[in-house]
Amino acid sequence: MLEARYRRLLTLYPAAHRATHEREMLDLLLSTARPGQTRPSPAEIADLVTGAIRIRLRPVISGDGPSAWPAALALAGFLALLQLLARGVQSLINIPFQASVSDFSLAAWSTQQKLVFTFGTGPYWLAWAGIAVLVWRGRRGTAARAACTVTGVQIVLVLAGKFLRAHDFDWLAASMASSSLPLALLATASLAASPGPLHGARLVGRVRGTILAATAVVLAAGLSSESFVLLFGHGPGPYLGLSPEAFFHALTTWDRLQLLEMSVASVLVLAALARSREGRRAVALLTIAAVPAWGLLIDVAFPTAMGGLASTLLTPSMGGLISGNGGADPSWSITYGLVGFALTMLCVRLVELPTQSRTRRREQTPA
Amino acid sequence: MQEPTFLILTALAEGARHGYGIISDIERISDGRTRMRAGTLYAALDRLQAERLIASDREEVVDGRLRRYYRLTEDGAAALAAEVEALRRRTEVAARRLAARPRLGDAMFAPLPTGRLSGGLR
Repeated sequence: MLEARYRRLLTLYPAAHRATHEREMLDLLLSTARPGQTRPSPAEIADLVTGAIRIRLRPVISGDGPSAWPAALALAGFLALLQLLARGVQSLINIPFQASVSDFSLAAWSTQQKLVFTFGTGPYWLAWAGIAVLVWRGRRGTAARAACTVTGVQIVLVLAGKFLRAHDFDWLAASMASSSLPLALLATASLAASPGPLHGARLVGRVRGTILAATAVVLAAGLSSESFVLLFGHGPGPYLGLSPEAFFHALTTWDRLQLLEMSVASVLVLAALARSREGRRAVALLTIAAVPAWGLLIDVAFPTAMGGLASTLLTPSMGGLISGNGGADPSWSITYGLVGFALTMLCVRLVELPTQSRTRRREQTPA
Repeated sequence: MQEPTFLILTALAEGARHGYGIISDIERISDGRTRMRAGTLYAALDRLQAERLIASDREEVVDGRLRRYYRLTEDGAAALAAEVEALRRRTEVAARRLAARPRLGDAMFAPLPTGRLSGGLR
């Protein structure tokens, strides 16, 4: 009776582990059982369940297993972290413009509104910079805990923005709900459930990693408000003395430029990762963050009034993505991201199909 | 090094042991404070084998039950020696600092400054 119950608990362990250790584990469990014991104690059950979880998670966390997903998550985590750092740099460059926006507003801003608008996202980017330093120094456990905290706070802020609708808070909630949320989720998942972004950086390699990092920073600087000023002679805000048509035209041109630069970045990432199995899966994971970002940009770059056809063609069913405060609606953002992930994985499977059939044929052919 | 790892390597430092032998030895060397269970032990043994700190030594069948013995590898012995050395250094620092600390008894019976004592008597 007791032996059968122990055996049932041992089925929680991976088959390979059971094949090697089941008999000796059973021997140990029966040897340590109390006389007359008929069922496993709660402490024994908890211990066996925890042991099974640890053994099942080990290949995922160490990246030693046959699955390509841990390495893919490590790669995606590295690129997501890189993108978060680049956004932080962009946010830093944008501070002078953000500080000047209130001067052009028709209604007077309170000091609190000005501070929230200018520096509101500062702590968030600083926190991710700190997490990147921890990752770089090999302190993955601390980095994972910090990332979980930061992303948890971000989710709370996003939900508060969605349901509370506090006026001063609107802009901050929109910023938090933007494409940085899927990136933060990817980086956090990579730290908690894969060999981590540092392992991802090693997989990318020094040369490709440097090119990708340099591209991210150049694009971030190129897409900042300061670059807008250099290009158009005024900032991307409401300016007195500028006709609404001219201002709207400048904004649309800017958004199309952003779309172009994002396309270049996507091609670079695809070129860097598409050769390996884990790289292709990393691209699929990055789609979770890329699809909402693309949706937001296409929506502003091709508004219905200017290019209805392009908007309809490029965003065939992205309804609900843009929330009332101009940011991405978090639930729709994740939904579209997951749909993008599923479609990309379908493409990856189709691409890998010939290779898989070749391998299967070679295995079946006798030597 | 985590405590279960340290205790398992210490148990195997004396010679090859099977699961029950390791658990019994750990209980003995920790003065009964650590009672390792099967789930924790085999998760640790699995990891230590993957890290090549221990290896499977031999198998025995006793009363129809399988007993696999594990032994410490050279890498395992080196890791345990490094941990023992690190612990020894930390223990020495702690002992030195404790020895240099003024004892409570010394402070109580230390002579009071003369002026204050004579002032108090007057």
